[in-house]
Amino acid sequence: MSKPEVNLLFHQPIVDHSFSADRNTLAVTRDNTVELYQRNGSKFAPVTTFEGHDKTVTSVDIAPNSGKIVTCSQDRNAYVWEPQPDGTYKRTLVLLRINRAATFVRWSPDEKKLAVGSGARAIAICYFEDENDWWVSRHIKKPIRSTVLSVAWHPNSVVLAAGSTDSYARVFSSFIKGVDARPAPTVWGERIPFATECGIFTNNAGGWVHAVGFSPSGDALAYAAHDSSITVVYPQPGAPETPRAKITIVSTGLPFTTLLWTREDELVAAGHDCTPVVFRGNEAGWSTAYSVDDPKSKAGAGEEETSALHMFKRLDIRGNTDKDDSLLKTIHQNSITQIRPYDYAGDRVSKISSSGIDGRVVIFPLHA
Amino acid sequence: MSQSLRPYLLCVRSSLTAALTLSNFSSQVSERHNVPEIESDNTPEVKLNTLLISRNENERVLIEPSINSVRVSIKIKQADEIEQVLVHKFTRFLTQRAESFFVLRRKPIHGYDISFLITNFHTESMLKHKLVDFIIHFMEEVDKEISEMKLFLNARARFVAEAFLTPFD
Amino acid sequence: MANVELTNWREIDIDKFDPERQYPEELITPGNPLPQAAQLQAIQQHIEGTHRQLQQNLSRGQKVEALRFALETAPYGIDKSQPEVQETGYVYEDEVKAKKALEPSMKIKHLQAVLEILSSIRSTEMNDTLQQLYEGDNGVELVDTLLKYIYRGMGVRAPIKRRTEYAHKEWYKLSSEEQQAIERAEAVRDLEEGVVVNHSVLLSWHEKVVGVAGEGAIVRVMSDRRTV
Repeated sequence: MSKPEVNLLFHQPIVDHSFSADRNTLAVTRDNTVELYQRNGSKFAPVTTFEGHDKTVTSVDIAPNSGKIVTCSQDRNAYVWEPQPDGTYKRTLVLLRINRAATFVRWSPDEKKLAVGSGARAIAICYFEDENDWWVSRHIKKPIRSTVLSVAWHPNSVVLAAGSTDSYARVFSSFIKGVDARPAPTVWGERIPFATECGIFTNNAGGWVHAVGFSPSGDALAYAAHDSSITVVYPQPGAPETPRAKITIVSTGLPFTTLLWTREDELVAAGHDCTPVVFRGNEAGWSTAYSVDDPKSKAGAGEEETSALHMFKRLDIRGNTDKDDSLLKTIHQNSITQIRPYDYAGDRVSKISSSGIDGRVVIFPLHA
Repeated sequence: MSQSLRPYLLCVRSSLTAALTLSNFSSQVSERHNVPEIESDNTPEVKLNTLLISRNENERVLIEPSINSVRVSIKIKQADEIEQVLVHKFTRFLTQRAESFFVLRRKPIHGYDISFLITNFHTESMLKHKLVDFIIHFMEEVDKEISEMKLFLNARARFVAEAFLTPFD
Repeated sequence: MANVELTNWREIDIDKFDPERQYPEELITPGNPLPQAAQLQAIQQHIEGTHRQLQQNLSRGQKVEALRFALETAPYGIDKSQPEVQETGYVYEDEVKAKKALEPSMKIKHLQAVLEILSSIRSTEMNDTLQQLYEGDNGVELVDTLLKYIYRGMGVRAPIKRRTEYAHKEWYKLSSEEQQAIERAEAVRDLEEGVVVNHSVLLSWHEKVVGVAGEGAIVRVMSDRRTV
């Protein structure tokens, strides 16, 4: 297995990152701006900075086919940046009509719509209106009772999942007449009008739902909650409210904040433990497979357990801890904020990219 | 190090590590604001259950976590009146210099001697595990510091008393 | 608003008049059935039965069974039954009082039982007990519940700001929910007086539990709204 590729871009949090389809352009959030990097050999060199947001940018997404970039921020706005022939970008405001922070944005797989999660307890589904030449939105509001932390699209670009701080993961229909062709029926229902709730899931131990994701086929949903767990739901066709199987994998570590399906029976999650973890399973059950950047494999045996004690002893003697002690054994030195697919081998994701609070973007190869 | 201090500090360490899982969270109540939710206290669902760790009835740590901030309050051991005065003066000295002490809260929570407020901006600009180390280090040092000050005070008092008594020798 | 001049406009909490304002009870994850008035008797009996069974298990030396049983029957979430009852009706007054007294006392009794079991297990047996618990049915959840009790035990007799410590003006600025919460905390605090806590035992249990279930268990104690 090849080694992970580490890019330390700057010493500020990267909340979200996105690669272009050819993987040569990388967009990362940095404070109130989004920076665009171009691959130059093994390094990434800065190209442009998108300015315009006046609060922390919370999310960025590059549409793989059209190359359009969408950004959203805590200033309640979202912009679409369209590449021009001369290499510049044309900025268009998205009319979100929300009065709280925009928290998360993703292009639909067909790139006709945008889903923006927000602190206004709503999801804005945005689409382009040709006659006015701007992006307009419709809201999914009703059952959501708290900030939406993340959204994820079903491959059919109509069904949408959302996780929020009221500790529910929900599945909605985002069907907009005139924009979407009528989708083929899925396990989540057929001919469902806009904003219909097709599924609502929570855990016994509660916990804000940080991340949601549909499996490649769209027939299963996974979510990561703040009770340090990953839950996979297999809905019952025709009755998505009562799933066929709902499997929760409880972790012994800190909560996961992002997840990614790599194939129908495998997913990767990462978060405050600073290392991506791979889970494998099916309807019968899920379990942890391995840690991609395992801190324990790098430590001497037994050191982990007594390290606190050692540190106290050192503190007593020297009044300070060792210098090399200040580094974590993982590549990411702070929480991982987002993981995305980087490369495919057949129908599975073979490499993932991760961004962290520590300002690093790392490309990890996965086991076959 | 005394035997009962180690499990106490280990417990605080693991609890703090678990609580310092913060993320950037914009207020749901006031528009375009980003406030520590544990302090603003108007969005109940983003607050978590508080944890209280105590070594005995006089030494405890209160951890109040939320989605973007954690409040850590420490009750320092005070065995007698001198220690009470010393702890009061010591914590007052620190809180008056709170601005150069990033994570220190100006006013402790009711029933505690000193409080820290750690927000997601602190965990973003500093290493999380180092912040935990800092709190643990503080807890360890403060006990030592207070008992040293007390010893020093007593020694000084004894010395002064002896000096006054010499004329009668 | 008869006395317009007397209203201190700056002190009005305008968020209260927001039509989209939500209440904590609505937001805290449901999942615990709210007991009706008639069920309270049954719950009380069940809890008492539980304690008899615990004593039996303990006296027979079946400490793991006793611990498992205590954790499986942990009462929580019952305090939500209170807002349902209107306190205005004269007829219901006794019932309201009974409910208010029952909820904390049930939890405290159970806490006391769990603490007794924990102290009765020697430190050399802790790891085996935990392993048995963790690997048994529903082990993860039981260990999480155990950790909840460990934290609850350490929280016994924590200082609270009593009603009498509030200045008159300060007290009347609080909303009625806040006032009720303070009164409830005070009632719980009074009940805690008799609870025996061995802090060093709880701390070593904590270390062992985190050794088995990791920091994830602490995260779950924080996120779980079903408090003990």
